[in-house]
Amino acid sequence: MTDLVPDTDLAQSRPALAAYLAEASGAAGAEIVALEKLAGGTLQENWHVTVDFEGGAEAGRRDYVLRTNRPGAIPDATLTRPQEYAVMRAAFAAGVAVPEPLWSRETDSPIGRAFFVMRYAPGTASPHRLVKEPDLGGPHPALAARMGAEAARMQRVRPDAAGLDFLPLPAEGAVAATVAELRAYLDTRPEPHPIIEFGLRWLEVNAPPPGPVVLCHGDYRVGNFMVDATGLTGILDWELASWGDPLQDLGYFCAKFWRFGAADKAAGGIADRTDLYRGWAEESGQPMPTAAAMRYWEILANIRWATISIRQAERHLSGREPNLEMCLTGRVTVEMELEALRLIAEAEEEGDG
Amino acid sequence: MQDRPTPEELLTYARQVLLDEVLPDLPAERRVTVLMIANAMAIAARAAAQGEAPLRDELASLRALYGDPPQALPTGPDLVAAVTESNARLAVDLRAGAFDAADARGRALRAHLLESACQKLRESKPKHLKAERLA
Repeated sequence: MTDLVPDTDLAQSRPALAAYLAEASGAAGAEIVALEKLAGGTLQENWHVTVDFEGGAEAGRRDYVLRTNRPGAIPDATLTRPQEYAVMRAAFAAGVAVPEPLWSRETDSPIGRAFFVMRYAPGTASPHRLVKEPDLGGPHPALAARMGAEAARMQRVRPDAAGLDFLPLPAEGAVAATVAELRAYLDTRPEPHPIIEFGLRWLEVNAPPPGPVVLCHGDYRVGNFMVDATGLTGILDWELASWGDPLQDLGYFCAKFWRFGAADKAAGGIADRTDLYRGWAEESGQPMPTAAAMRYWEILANIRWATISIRQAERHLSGREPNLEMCLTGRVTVEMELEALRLIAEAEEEGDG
Repeated sequence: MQDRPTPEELLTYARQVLLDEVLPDLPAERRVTVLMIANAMAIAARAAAQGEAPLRDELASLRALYGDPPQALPTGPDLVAAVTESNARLAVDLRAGAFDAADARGRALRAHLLESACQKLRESKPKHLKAERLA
């Protein structure tokens, strides 16, 4: 794909993209009537595309989101766009509230880079709005329960699902895989991180017996859920998906650094933990997870995100991608470290395990 | 010796001017950037004010953790190198399980790590320590 020249604003690509969309949907013709880059995204770009289709499966005026790599962004150890598309297809087929992924293109792309197109999910994903507006997306205890139920539906996708062979199987369990992955990253860094090493060792020694291996979103938290007046309209940003443990995403959802200033509402700053768990338990048919079990997965979430924040700061510090926000992220790592230490002390006091 | 203002005084006042005189005139989409710059300056000002004391405390704590005999603490680049080396040793030992036992050494380790996190926050985000009731 090195022969492709990225079109940074997609403006020159409009005719080629329209022709591609017409062909993909079996339309006689297609016209792009609006094309607007959506806010956010450090590694990816999302474009709101409005298309008039002449016939075909999508006849009429429709809204989509085109997701592609941001030009110049250094690839990270995350899924490629075609892989993310495949994961979203599998989640959609399992009945998860994910914007329907429609078409994916990797080579000979009309925009010069890999992309896929999904249906447009209306509303907002703003975590700050969700935390401040108690009725945005409906009453929040019910909204959190819905998010728990969606996780349970997603977890019906198992390693025997077609088309997901690129996701590595955690041969020795989800914890061992995560610990090994994070240690491998730390080993690439010249500076030592004793608190993270302590956390990883603690997680290794205190690991629960491996559960079933299920599809995990990997970034399952407020900020990646689109909501409008009708409730949840779509779960976004699947590039960190992996096989893992059923409780992994639930623990991550409740981690303190994803509460956006509303620390007393453990489920993403919008509801109680039990609201989220209840929705998951009802949909999965599993018992409510225990406080001790969830504490373990919150510790893992904090150690994992502490490591990812070091990685984000490194994008800036390497000089390859100067960015003040990523630069300052290096000084946020300690908040996750402190929370992990606090939760480990709590687990040891309560005699978890 | 350098004339005044000290690095801390320079950063603190420059930050105040940025917030008082530049920020109010900025359109909303630029404010976030200036607030991030002000945050970076505040961190650097606190680091300048603390000097080498936190690193010296950390090295003394690491040496105590390993039962090393008391010796004079280095300064300047040697201090940074000594703390880095000590932390690298600790990181390797932690991974190998050398601190797994829930004994006095394990408790001392936990106290050391908690204090090192608190010290990082004293420089990077003292507000967070207050929120966590650790300050």
